[in-house]
Amino acid sequence: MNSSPSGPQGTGSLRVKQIVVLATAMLTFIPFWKASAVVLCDFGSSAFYAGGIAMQAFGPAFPWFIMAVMLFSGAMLAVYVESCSMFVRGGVYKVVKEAMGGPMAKVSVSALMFDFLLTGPISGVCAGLYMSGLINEMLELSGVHWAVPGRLFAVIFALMVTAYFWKHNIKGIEESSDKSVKIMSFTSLVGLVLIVWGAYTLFCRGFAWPSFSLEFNEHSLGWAKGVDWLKPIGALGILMAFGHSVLALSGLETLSQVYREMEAPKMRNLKKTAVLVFLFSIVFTGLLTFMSALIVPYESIKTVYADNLLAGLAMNMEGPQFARLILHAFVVMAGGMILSGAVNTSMVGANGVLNRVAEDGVLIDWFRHLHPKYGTTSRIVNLVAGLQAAIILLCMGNVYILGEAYAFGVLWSFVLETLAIIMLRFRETGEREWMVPLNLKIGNRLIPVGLLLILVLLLMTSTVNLITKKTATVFGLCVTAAFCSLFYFSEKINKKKARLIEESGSDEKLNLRYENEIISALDEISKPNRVLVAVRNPSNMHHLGSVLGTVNGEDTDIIVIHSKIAKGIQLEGETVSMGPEETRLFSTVVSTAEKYGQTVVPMLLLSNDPFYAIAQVARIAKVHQIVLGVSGSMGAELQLERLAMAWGAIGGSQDPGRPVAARVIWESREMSFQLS
Amino acid sequence: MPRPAKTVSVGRLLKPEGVIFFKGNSEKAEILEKLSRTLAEFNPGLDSQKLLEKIMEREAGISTVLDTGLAIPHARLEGIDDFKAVLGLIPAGYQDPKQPGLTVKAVFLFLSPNNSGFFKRHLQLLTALSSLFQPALIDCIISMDQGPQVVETVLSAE
Repeated sequence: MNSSPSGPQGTGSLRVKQIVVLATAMLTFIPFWKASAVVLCDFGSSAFYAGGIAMQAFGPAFPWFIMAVMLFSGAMLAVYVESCSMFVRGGVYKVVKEAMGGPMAKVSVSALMFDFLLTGPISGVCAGLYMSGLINEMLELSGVHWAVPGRLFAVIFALMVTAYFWKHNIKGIEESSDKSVKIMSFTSLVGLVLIVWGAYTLFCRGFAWPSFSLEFNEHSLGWAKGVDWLKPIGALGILMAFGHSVLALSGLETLSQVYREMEAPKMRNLKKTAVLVFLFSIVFTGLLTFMSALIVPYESIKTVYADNLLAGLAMNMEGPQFARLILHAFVVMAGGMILSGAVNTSMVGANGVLNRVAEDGVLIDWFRHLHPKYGTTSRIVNLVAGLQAAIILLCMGNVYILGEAYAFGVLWSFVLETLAIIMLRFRETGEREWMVPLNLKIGNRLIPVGLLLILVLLLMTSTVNLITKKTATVFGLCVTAAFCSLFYFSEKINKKKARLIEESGSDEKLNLRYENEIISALDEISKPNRVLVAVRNPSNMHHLGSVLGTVNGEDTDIIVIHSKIAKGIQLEGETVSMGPEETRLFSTVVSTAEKYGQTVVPMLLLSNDPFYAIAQVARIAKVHQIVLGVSGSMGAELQLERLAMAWGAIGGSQDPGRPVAARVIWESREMSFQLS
Repeated sequence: MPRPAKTVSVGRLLKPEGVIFFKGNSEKAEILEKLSRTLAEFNPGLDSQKLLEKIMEREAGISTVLDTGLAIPHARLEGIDDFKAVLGLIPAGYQDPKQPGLTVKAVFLFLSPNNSGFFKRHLQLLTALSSLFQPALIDCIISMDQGPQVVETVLSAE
């Protein structure tokens, strides 16, 4: 079927001439278990180092605190679920900006950037330490009296991993959620073997509960060591230890990043993801750290396995040495994969956050310059990778130093996010899809007791960390100040640009594919049912929402088209292009689709008559329904009239046995007609 | 899912005397005025002036011109219980000011009852008309000069 102009001789044509398919806007949505794998690839990786770092900071009580932090992750996951229920493209920047304005949002993102910059190095170095540990173990067994210098090896390995993912991100090869699923499947299997084998070992040997005693060293006391009343006593000591363990919470921000790609029903899937992440963290990070403390002698942890605790667990199991060595190798493989994945996630996350900030006009355009060959924001990737490489070199493979510097951004971004949600609770009192539990109703007010308790704990921990984690405080403040300054001056420079973006509504980059035939533009259509939704006004998306909320995306393709009106009838020499209005319109389409977790096929068509364009695409795509939003200027009846005329003119009613319904949907009303 | 309405026969709506041949060049306004007058003549009780006003009111809205060479000016009226239609044939064609570049050679002017129950039939007639009056049929009937011959051709084309 030809879609090119085909009017009769002597007359003009109203047929579609050119189509733009918005390829990047065709988001693929993922199920909750894939989303969980993506989050856990980052969040779960801390199981490999959090216990060892906590042990070095405050001694044998570390498994209790790591478990406590994992339990607390449930509360933070709840905070993230509530924030995602309000903003599909959420994350700390959006939530804090909505509640407290731009300046505080910049602070929160700057703090978060500090942790993104550290996640890569800590993961890379830790993977290197696990690997060097295995190599040395094997060398020793082979009778070779030489050991690989662990930290030097870790530095080289971390630099190599960083370089690999730097190149990867410059090329723009997106990490698929399938890869995350594979990593997490393998890691879960190794974790399961460790738990079962560990349980058998404990059964054979018996065990004693780890001590509760807190043994802070000079370094982990930070500035508190010189102040008597700040000495670790009672609750303050518990807070200090909790603060030193909180690095295990790194990676939760990924939940809000991945929510955008979660399939419908979004909220239910988000809750499932949060529960799965929580359970996995309790079992994988919490239980395995606990088992390590029960099975590996404390002295061994201190002297040999502080940097690779789970390797220590593998090597101290009950069983023959070769079997333990094999298990050790599997632990290193799992650690290598998940930690390397976390290096990539940190780079992708930092790039994503800086791009999100840049969309708001608070990062100079120089950073958003696209790579000439790959079209990626390579300058941001260079900046992030360069800073991460510098951190790796500075730490010289000492994972404890990295751990001490860590968690500043995590904690302060949590504080600001929780505070922002509390403020929004009071400011926007309307219904929410989900709320953090423990809410006390006093009169018309709902007092968010649960959120307030979380905030109090976060504030106390953050404040104590400011005093005890000197490295984190000094470097965290410096990096936060540096990024805040960058954002501040960028915003000043970009003020004009920012205004333009505000006017156009969005600065989203969309990847376009040009086609001259409608049929070629419909390559992606493969499901048995098809619905065509025509859009025109970004403020009138009720009909699209209605379709997205009711159609089963499993068996239905949703084609969203906008017809750009061409000047003149013959369309000679004209080509369709995306202007600010179309970009804004399709950005709204994409965010609406994200909100419902449904994939859409967005298209922009060049045509003299939007109804002809709708009818032509509908006929060629063999749709079952054509859905329009009501036009304020012409009204639903005239819209249906024109669509009926266009449908007949293009021969739509000549297709036998294929019912096609036309619907005009607006607030609580609908008008429909069976076209054929 | 809306139910399909009963099929509308375009040919049965047309009377031979309701087919008007416009020789030479004619303007849109002139054509619509003549067709409205003809329709009023065959349907006592219809005021041709009021009819034309209604038609022009609708014409001010979204276009009724198709790229097949057909225009379907129409109005929904109180007080009638079925479609009323006339057909104008303009071999020389005319350009609709709302859609310059499209040449109109056939004008199917009709009235339909203004009630919501009839609206689906109204839409179905629009679909049927635009589907039926394709360029080949229009080219064929504009070459004729007898009303009965045109009606017969339209009926056989359905």
